[in-house]
Amino acid sequence: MDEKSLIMEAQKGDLDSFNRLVLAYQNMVYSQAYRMMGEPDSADDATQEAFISAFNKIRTYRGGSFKAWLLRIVTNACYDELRRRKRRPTVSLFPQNSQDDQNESEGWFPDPGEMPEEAAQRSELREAIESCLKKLPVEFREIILLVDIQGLDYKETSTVAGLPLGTVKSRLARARFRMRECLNQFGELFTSAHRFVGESG
Amino acid sequence: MMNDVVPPIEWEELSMFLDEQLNPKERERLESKLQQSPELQSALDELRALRSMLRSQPEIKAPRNYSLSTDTVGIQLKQRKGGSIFPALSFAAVIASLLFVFVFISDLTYGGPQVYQSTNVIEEQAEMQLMEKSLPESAQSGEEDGGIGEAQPVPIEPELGELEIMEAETEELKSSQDETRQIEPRYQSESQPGEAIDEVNNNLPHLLRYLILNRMALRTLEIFLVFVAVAAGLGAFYFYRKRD
Repeated sequence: MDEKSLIMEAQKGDLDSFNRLVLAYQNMVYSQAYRMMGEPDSADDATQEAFISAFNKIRTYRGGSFKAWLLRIVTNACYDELRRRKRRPTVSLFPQNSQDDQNESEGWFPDPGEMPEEAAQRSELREAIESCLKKLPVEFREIILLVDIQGLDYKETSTVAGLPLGTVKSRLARARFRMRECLNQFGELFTSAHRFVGESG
Repeated sequence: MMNDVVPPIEWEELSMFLDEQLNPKERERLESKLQQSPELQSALDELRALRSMLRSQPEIKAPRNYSLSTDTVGIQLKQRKGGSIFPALSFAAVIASLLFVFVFISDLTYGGPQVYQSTNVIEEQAEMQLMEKSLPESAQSGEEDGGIGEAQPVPIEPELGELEIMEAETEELKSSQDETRQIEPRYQSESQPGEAIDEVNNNLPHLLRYLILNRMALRTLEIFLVFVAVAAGLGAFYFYRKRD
Protein backbone atom coordinates (compact mmCIF):
# COMPACT_ATOMS: atom_id res chain seq x y z
CA MET A 1 0.00 0.00 0.00
CA ASP A 2 1.40 3.41 -0.93
CA GLU A 3 1.64 6.43 1.37
CA LYS A 4 -1.49 8.09 0.04
CA SER A 5 -3.62 5.01 0.65
CA LEU A 6 -2.16 4.59 4.13
CA ILE A 7 -3.02 8.20 4.94
CA MET A 8 -6.57 7.74 3.66
CA GLU A 9 -7.03 4.60 5.74
CA ALA A 10 -5.56 6.35 8.79
CA GLN A 11 -7.99 9.22 8.24
CA LYS A 12 -10.79 6.68 8.55
CA GLY A 13 -9.39 5.74 11.96
CA ASP A 14 -7.33 2.67 10.97
CA LEU A 15 -4.55 2.53 13.54
CA ASP A 16 -2.60 -0.19 11.68
CA SER A 17 -2.27 2.00 8.58
CA PHE A 18 -1.17 4.90 10.75
CA ASN A 19 1.42 2.71 12.45
CA ARG A 20 2.90 1.83 9.07
CA LEU A 21 3.36 5.55 8.49
CA VAL A 22 4.93 5.79 11.95
CA LEU A 23 7.47 3.12 11.02
CA ALA A 24 8.30 4.95 7.80
CA TYR A 25 8.79 8.34 9.46
CA GLN A 26 9.87 7.67 13.05
CA ASN A 27 13.60 8.16 12.38
CA MET A 28 12.97 11.45 10.63
CA VAL A 29 10.64 12.65 13.40
CA TYR A 30 12.97 11.52 16.17
CA SER A 31 15.98 13.17 14.44
CA GLN A 32 14.14 16.46 14.26
CA ALA A 33 13.03 16.19 17.89
CA TYR A 34 16.50 15.19 19.07
CA ARG A 35 18.16 18.08 17.32
CA MET A 36 15.54 20.53 18.49
CA MET A 37 15.63 19.39 22.11
CA GLY A 38 19.30 18.54 22.33
CA GLU A 39 18.87 15.49 24.55
CA PRO A 40 17.29 12.04 24.16
CA ASP A 41 14.67 11.97 26.93
CA SER A 42 12.92 15.14 25.81
CA ALA A 43 13.24 14.02 22.18
CA ASP A 44 11.58 10.71 23.07
CA ASP A 45 8.68 12.47 24.80
CA ALA A 46 8.26 14.95 21.97
CA THR A 47 8.31 12.18 19.34
CA GLN A 48 5.70 10.15 21.20
CA GLU A 49 3.54 13.24 21.67
CA ALA A 50 3.95 14.17 18.02
CA PHE A 51 2.72 10.81 16.73
CA ILE A 52 -0.27 10.80 19.06
CA SER A 53 -1.06 14.34 18.00
CA ALA A 54 -0.64 13.37 14.34
CA PHE A 55 -3.09 10.48 14.75
CA ASN A 56 -5.64 12.74 16.39
CA LYS A 57 -5.23 15.43 13.74
CA ILE A 58 -4.80 13.29 10.65
CA ARG A 59 -8.31 14.15 9.45
CA THR A 60 -7.16 17.75 9.11
CA TYR A 61 -4.40 16.74 6.66
CA ARG A 62 -5.41 18.10 3.25
CA GLY A 63 -2.72 16.76 0.95
CA GLY A 64 0.67 18.25 0.16
CA SER A 65 3.90 17.04 1.70
CA PHE A 66 3.14 14.59 4.49
CA LYS A 67 6.72 14.98 5.71
CA ALA A 68 6.24 18.76 6.07
CA TRP A 69 2.93 18.16 7.86
CA LEU A 70 4.61 15.78 10.31
CA LEU A 71 7.51 18.19 10.80
CA ARG A 72 5.08 20.91 11.75
CA ILE A 73 3.52 18.65 14.37
CA VAL A 74 6.83 17.51 15.81
CA THR A 75 8.13 21.09 15.91
CA ASN A 76 5.05 22.17 17.85
CA ALA A 77 5.46 19.17 20.16
CA CYS A 78 9.07 20.21 20.79
CA TYR A 79 8.04 23.75 21.68
CA ASP A 80 5.37 22.36 24.04
CA GLU A 81 7.97 20.07 25.62
CA LEU A 82 10.43 22.95 25.97
CA ARG A 83 7.78 25.07 27.69
CA ARG A 84 6.87 22.19 29.98
CA ARG A 85 10.51 21.60 30.89
CA LYS A 86 10.97 25.31 31.51
CA ARG A 87 8.01 25.31 33.91
CA ARG A 88 9.15 22.13 35.64
CA PRO A 89 12.87 21.64 35.10
CA THR A 90 14.06 18.08 35.53
CA VAL A 91 17.40 17.18 37.10
CA SER A 92 19.24 14.28 35.51
CA LEU A 93 20.21 11.43 37.83
CA PHE A 94 23.45 10.99 35.91
CA PRO A 95 26.23 13.55 35.60
CA GLN A 96 26.41 15.15 32.16
CA ASN A 97 29.82 15.31 30.58
CA SER A 98 31.50 14.68 27.25
CA GLN A 99 31.21 10.91 27.81
CA ASP A 100 27.41 11.22 27.64
CA ASP A 101 27.62 12.84 24.25
CA GLN A 102 29.51 9.82 22.95
CA ASN A 103 26.80 7.50 24.24
CA GLU A 104 24.09 9.60 22.64
CA SER A 105 25.65 9.21 19.22
CA GLU A 106 25.13 5.43 19.23
CA GLY A 107 21.98 5.89 17.22
CA TRP A 108 23.78 7.11 14.09
CA PHE A 109 23.30 5.00 11.01
CA PRO A 110 26.70 3.55 10.03
CA ASP A 111 27.99 4.35 6.56
CA PRO A 112 28.82 0.99 4.95
CA GLY A 113 32.20 0.71 3.22
CA GLU A 114 33.72 3.63 5.10
CA MET A 115 37.39 3.49 6.15
CA PRO A 116 37.95 3.59 9.95
CA GLU A 117 39.95 6.83 9.79
CA GLU A 118 37.35 8.49 7.61
CA ALA A 119 34.58 7.21 9.84
CA ALA A 120 36.31 8.66 12.89
CA GLN A 121 36.72 12.04 11.26
CA ARG A 122 33.18 12.04 9.98
CA SER A 123 31.94 11.12 13.42
CA GLU A 124 33.99 13.96 14.89
CA LEU A 125 32.49 16.37 12.39
CA ARG A 126 28.98 15.13 13.19
CA GLU A 127 29.57 15.77 16.86
CA ALA A 128 30.94 19.23 16.11
CA ILE A 129 27.82 20.02 14.08
CA GLU A 130 25.51 18.66 16.76
CA SER A 131 27.35 20.66 19.39
CA CYS A 132 27.06 23.86 17.34
CA LEU A 133 23.37 23.20 16.65
CA LYS A 134 22.74 22.91 20.40
CA LYS A 135 24.33 26.32 20.93
CA LEU A 136 21.96 28.04 18.50
CA PRO A 137 18.87 29.78 19.89
CA VAL A 138 15.91 27.47 19.38
CA GLU A 139 14.16 29.74 16.85
CA PHE A 140 17.28 29.75 14.63
CA ARG A 141 17.87 26.05 15.19
CA GLU A 142 14.34 25.25 14.05
CA ILE A 143 14.82 27.02 10.72
CA ILE A 144 18.27 25.65 9.89
CA LEU A 145 17.07 22.13 10.73
CA LEU A 146 14.06 22.44 8.46
CA VAL A 147 15.94 23.91 5.49
CA ASP A 148 19.45 22.48 5.64
CA ILE A 149 18.89 19.13 7.32
CA GLN A 150 15.32 18.19 6.40
CA GLY A 151 15.67 19.79 2.97
CA LEU A 152 12.43 21.79 2.94
CA ASP A 153 12.20 24.80 0.68
CA TYR A 154 11.58 28.32 2.05
CA LYS A 155 7.84 28.21 1.45
CA GLU A 156 7.40 24.86 3.16
CA THR A 157 9.54 26.06 6.04
CA SER A 158 7.44 29.18 6.33
CA THR A 159 4.30 27.02 6.59
CA VAL A 160 5.83 24.53 9.03
CA ALA A 161 7.25 27.22 11.31
CA GLY A 162 4.24 29.50 10.91
CA LEU A 163 6.48 32.44 10.06
CA PRO A 164 6.57 34.96 7.20
CA LEU A 165 8.93 34.14 4.34
CA GLY A 166 11.14 37.14 5.13
CA THR A 167 11.63 35.98 8.71
CA VAL A 168 12.58 32.51 7.49
CA LYS A 169 15.20 33.99 5.13
CA SER A 170 16.78 36.23 7.73
CA ARG A 171 16.72 33.60 10.50
CA LEU A 172 18.28 31.06 8.18
CA ALA A 173 21.07 33.43 7.18
CA ARG A 174 21.80 34.29 10.81
CA ALA A 175 21.69 30.63 11.83
CA ARG A 176 24.17 29.76 9.09
CA PHE A 177 26.37 32.68 10.12
CA ARG A 178 26.42 31.47 13.74
CA MET A 179 27.05 27.88 12.67
CA ARG A 180 30.03 29.04 10.66
CA GLU A 181 31.34 31.01 13.63
CA CYS A 182 30.93 28.01 15.89
CA LEU A 183 32.51 25.51 13.50
CA ASN A 184 35.37 27.94 13.08
CA GLN A 185 36.39 26.99 16.61
CA PHE A 186 37.01 23.44 15.41
CA GLY A 187 39.65 24.77 12.96
CA GLU A 188 41.04 22.03 10.75
CA LEU A 189 37.96 19.90 11.10
CA PHE A 190 35.85 22.31 9.06
CA THR A 191 38.56 22.73 6.41
CA SER A 192 38.94 19.00 5.96
CA ALA A 193 35.18 18.64 5.89
CA HIS A 194 35.20 20.34 2.46
CA ARG A 195 36.96 17.24 1.17
CA PHE A 196 34.25 14.91 2.53
CA VAL A 197 31.56 17.09 1.11
CA GLY A 198 33.32 17.18 -2.24
CA GLU A 199 33.68 13.42 -2.28
CA SER A 200 30.12 12.67 -1.25
CA GLY A 201 28.83 15.16 -3.79
CA MET B 1 40.13 29.46 6.67
CA MET B 2 36.89 31.11 7.65
CA ASN B 3 36.23 34.52 6.29
CA ASP B 4 35.48 37.15 8.94
CA VAL B 5 35.43 40.25 6.73
CA VAL B 6 31.99 39.66 5.22
CA PRO B 7 29.37 41.77 7.01
CA PRO B 8 26.16 40.02 8.17
CA ILE B 9 24.02 41.81 5.56
CA GLU B 10 26.09 40.45 2.72
CA TRP B 11 26.10 37.07 4.42
CA GLU B 12 22.30 37.15 4.26
CA GLU B 13 22.46 37.97 0.56
CA LEU B 14 24.91 35.13 0.05
CA SER B 15 22.60 32.75 1.90
CA MET B 16 19.68 33.73 -0.30
CA PHE B 17 21.87 33.59 -3.41
CA LEU B 18 22.85 30.03 -2.53
CA ASP B 19 19.18 29.01 -2.21
CA GLU B 20 18.27 30.93 -5.40
CA GLN B 21 16.00 33.31 -3.50
CA LEU B 22 17.33 36.56 -4.97
CA ASN B 23 15.49 38.28 -7.79
CA PRO B 24 17.39 38.59 -11.13
CA LYS B 25 18.49 42.17 -10.43
CA GLU B 26 19.87 41.36 -6.95
CA ARG B 27 21.45 38.22 -8.27
CA GLU B 28 23.23 40.09 -11.08
CA ARG B 29 24.52 42.72 -8.65
CA LEU B 30 25.85 40.09 -6.24
CA GLU B 31 27.51 38.13 -9.06
CA SER B 32 29.44 41.21 -10.12
CA LYS B 33 30.45 41.78 -6.47
CA LEU B 34 31.60 38.18 -6.23
CA GLN B 35 33.85 38.63 -9.27
CA GLN B 36 35.46 41.69 -7.71
CA SER B 37 35.79 40.41 -4.14
CA PRO B 38 37.74 37.19 -3.43
CA GLU B 39 36.67 37.45 0.26
CA LEU B 40 33.04 37.36 -0.72
CA GLN B 41 33.68 34.42 -3.06
CA SER B 42 35.48 32.61 -0.25
CA ALA B 43 32.55 33.25 2.10
CA LEU B 44 30.18 31.83 -0.51
CA ASP B 45 32.31 28.69 -0.78
CA GLU B 46 32.27 28.28 2.98
CA LEU B 47 28.53 28.74 3.06
CA ARG B 48 28.09 26.17 0.31
CA ALA B 49 30.31 23.73 2.21
CA LEU B 50 28.39 24.32 5.44
CA ARG B 51 25.07 23.70 3.73
CA SER B 52 26.36 20.53 2.11
CA MET B 53 27.70 19.29 5.44
CA LEU B 54 24.37 19.88 7.12
CA ARG B 55 22.48 18.23 4.29
CA SER B 56 24.71 15.19 4.49
CA GLN B 57 23.91 14.68 8.18
CA PRO B 58 22.31 11.28 8.56
CA GLU B 59 19.05 10.63 10.34
CA ILE B 60 19.31 9.55 13.94
CA LYS B 61 17.90 6.11 14.56
CA ALA B 62 14.83 6.18 16.77
CA PRO B 63 15.61 4.46 20.10
CA ARG B 64 12.34 2.52 20.04
CA ASN B 65 9.24 1.80 18.03
CA TYR B 66 6.73 4.64 18.26
CA SER B 67 3.78 2.65 16.90
CA LEU B 68 0.63 3.53 18.77
CA SER B 69 -1.55 1.06 20.59
CA THR B 70 -5.29 1.48 21.09
CA ASP B 71 -4.61 1.87 24.81
CA THR B 72 -2.12 4.70 24.25
CA VAL B 73 -4.49 6.52 21.93
CA GLY B 74 -7.39 5.97 24.38
CA ILE B 75 -5.43 7.25 27.40
CA GLN B 76 -4.13 10.23 25.49
CA LEU B 77 -7.60 11.05 24.21
CA LYS B 78 -8.87 11.08 27.81
CA GLN B 79 -6.01 13.35 28.89
CA ARG B 80 -6.57 15.53 25.87
CA LYS B 81 -10.24 15.84 26.76
CA GLY B 82 -9.20 17.30 30.11
CA GLY B 83 -6.77 19.56 28.30
CA SER B 84 -9.44 20.84 25.95
CA ILE B 85 -11.87 21.50 28.82
CA PHE B 86 -9.37 23.82 30.49
CA PRO B 87 -9.50 26.64 27.88
CA ALA B 88 -13.29 26.29 27.62
CA LEU B 89 -13.71 26.61 31.39
CA SER B 90 -11.33 29.52 31.73
CA PHE B 91 -13.11 31.25 28.84
CA ALA B 92 -16.50 30.65 30.52
CA ALA B 93 -15.17 32.03 33.82
CA VAL B 94 -13.87 35.17 32.16
CA ILE B 95 -17.05 35.75 30.15
CA ALA B 96 -19.30 35.15 33.18
CA SER B 97 -17.22 37.58 35.27
CA LEU B 98 -17.35 40.25 32.57
CA LEU B 99 -21.09 39.81 32.11
CA PHE B 100 -21.62 40.06 35.86
CA VAL B 101 -19.61 43.27 36.05
CA PHE B 102 -21.51 44.70 33.08
CA VAL B 103 -24.94 43.81 34.49
CA PHE B 104 -23.98 45.02 37.95
CA ILE B 105 -22.69 48.37 36.67
CA SER B 106 -25.76 48.79 34.45
CA ASP B 107 -27.93 48.06 37.47
CA LEU B 108 -26.11 50.69 39.53
CA THR B 109 -26.15 53.25 36.70
CA TYR B 110 -29.67 52.89 35.33
CA GLY B 111 -31.47 50.91 38.02
CA GLY B 112 -31.85 51.77 41.68
CA PRO B 113 -34.87 52.72 43.79
CA GLN B 114 -35.97 55.53 41.42
CA VAL B 115 -36.71 53.14 38.57
CA TYR B 116 -38.38 50.59 40.82
CA GLN B 117 -40.54 53.28 42.41
CA SER B 118 -41.40 54.52 38.95
CA THR B 119 -42.50 51.09 37.82
CA ASN B 120 -44.70 50.78 40.90
CA VAL B 121 -46.26 54.17 40.24
CA ILE B 122 -46.98 53.27 36.64
CA GLU B 123 -48.54 49.97 37.67
CA GLU B 124 -50.72 51.75 40.22
CA GLN B 125 -51.79 54.32 37.63
CA ALA B 126 -52.70 51.55 35.21
CA GLU B 127 -54.79 49.81 37.87
CA MET B 128 -56.58 53.05 38.70
CA GLN B 129 -57.40 53.65 35.04
CA LEU B 130 -58.83 50.15 34.75
CA MET B 131 -60.98 50.71 37.82
CA GLU B 132 -62.23 54.04 36.48
CA LYS B 133 -63.20 52.46 33.19
CA SER B 134 -65.03 49.62 34.87
CA LEU B 135 -67.13 51.89 37.12
CA PRO B 136 -69.34 53.67 34.52
CA GLU B 137 -69.90 50.40 32.68
CA SER B 138 -71.35 48.78 35.78
CA ALA B 139 -73.44 51.86 36.40
CA GLN B 140 -74.75 51.76 32.83
CA SER B 141 -75.56 48.07 33.02
CA GLY B 142 -77.55 48.80 36.17
CA GLU B 143 -79.74 51.36 34.31
CA GLU B 144 -80.34 48.93 31.43
CA ASP B 145 -81.62 46.34 33.89
CA GLY B 146 -84.60 48.64 34.54
CA GLY B 147 -83.41 50.41 37.66
CA ILE B 148 -83.52 47.27 39.79
CA GLY B 149 -79.79 47.54 40.48
CA GLU B 150 -78.06 49.39 43.25
CA ALA B 151 -79.29 52.85 44.11
CA GLN B 152 -77.25 55.77 42.81
CA PRO B 153 -75.34 57.52 45.60
CA VAL B 154 -76.90 60.81 46.45
CA PRO B 155 -74.30 63.61 46.44
CA ILE B 156 -74.13 65.39 49.73
CA GLU B 157 -73.95 69.08 49.13
CA PRO B 158 -71.55 70.76 51.52
CA GLU B 159 -72.54 73.87 53.23
CA LEU B 160 -71.33 77.13 51.75
CA GLY B 161 -68.77 77.91 54.53
CA GLU B 162 -67.12 74.48 54.29
CA LEU B 163 -66.83 74.76 50.51
CA GLU B 164 -65.01 78.06 50.74
CA ILE B 165 -62.53 76.68 53.26
CA MET B 166 -61.81 73.65 51.05
CA GLU B 167 -61.22 75.84 47.99
CA ALA B 168 -58.85 78.04 49.96
CA GLU B 169 -56.89 75.00 51.16
CA THR B 170 -56.64 73.65 47.62
CA GLU B 171 -55.31 76.99 46.36
CA GLU B 172 -52.74 77.07 49.15
CA LEU B 173 -51.59 73.51 48.39
CA LYS B 174 -51.22 74.30 44.66
CA SER B 175 -49.14 77.40 45.32
CA SER B 176 -46.84 75.53 47.72
CA GLN B 177 -46.31 72.81 45.04
CA ASP B 178 -45.39 75.48 42.49
CA GLU B 179 -42.81 76.91 44.89
CA THR B 180 -41.29 73.47 45.45
CA ARG B 181 -40.99 73.01 41.68
CA GLN B 182 -39.15 76.28 41.34
CA ILE B 183 -36.77 75.65 44.24
CA GLU B 184 -35.99 71.99 43.47
CA PRO B 185 -36.51 71.40 39.78
CA ARG B 186 -33.95 68.53 39.71
CA TYR B 187 -35.73 66.66 42.47
CA GLN B 188 -39.03 67.17 40.72
CA SER B 189 -37.75 65.94 37.37
CA GLU B 190 -36.18 62.85 38.96
CA SER B 191 -39.37 62.07 40.79
CA GLN B 192 -41.35 61.98 37.52
CA PRO B 193 -42.00 58.28 36.97
CA GLY B 194 -42.00 58.49 33.16
CA GLU B 195 -38.60 60.16 32.84
CA ALA B 196 -36.62 57.52 34.73
CA ILE B 197 -38.27 54.82 32.65
CA ASP B 198 -37.54 56.77 29.46
CA GLU B 199 -33.87 56.98 30.41
CA VAL B 200 -33.73 53.20 30.78
CA ASN B 201 -35.67 52.70 27.55
CA ASN B 202 -33.44 55.01 25.53
CA ASN B 203 -30.04 53.86 26.76
CA LEU B 204 -30.24 50.11 27.14
CA PRO B 205 -30.82 47.13 24.88
CA HIS B 206 -34.18 45.40 25.13
CA LEU B 207 -33.09 42.42 27.26
CA LEU B 208 -31.14 44.53 29.72
CA ARG B 209 -34.03 47.00 29.87
CA TYR B 210 -36.33 44.16 30.86
CA LEU B 211 -33.86 43.01 33.50
CA ILE B 212 -33.37 46.47 34.96
CA LEU B 213 -37.13 46.92 35.28
CA ASN B 214 -37.61 43.43 36.67
CA ARG B 215 -35.71 43.33 39.91
CA MET B 216 -36.24 39.63 40.62
CA ALA B 217 -34.92 38.52 37.22
CA LEU B 218 -31.92 40.80 37.60
CA ARG B 219 -30.96 39.43 40.98
CA THR B 220 -31.36 35.85 39.68
CA LEU B 221 -29.11 36.60 36.71
CA GLU B 222 -26.46 38.19 38.92
CA ILE B 223 -26.43 35.21 41.27
CA PHE B 224 -26.29 32.82 38.27
CA LEU B 225 -23.34 34.69 36.74
CA VAL B 226 -21.41 34.69 40.00
CA PHE B 227 -22.08 30.97 40.36
CA VAL B 228 -20.90 30.23 36.78
CA ALA B 229 -17.78 32.38 37.18
CA VAL B 230 -16.75 30.69 40.43
CA ALA B 231 -17.58 27.15 39.28
CA ALA B 232 -15.84 27.55 35.90
CA GLY B 233 -12.83 29.19 37.55
CA LEU B 234 -12.46 26.34 40.03
CA GLY B 235 -12.91 23.79 37.25
CA ALA B 236 -10.28 25.51 35.10
CA PHE B 237 -7.86 25.56 38.02
CA TYR B 238 -8.47 21.84 38.65
CA PHE B 239 -7.80 20.89 35.00
CA TYR B 240 -4.79 23.19 34.84
CA ARG B 241 -3.22 21.37 37.79
CA LYS B 242 -4.21 17.99 36.37
CA ARG B 243 -2.77 18.80 32.93
CA ASP B 244 0.72 19.30 34.30
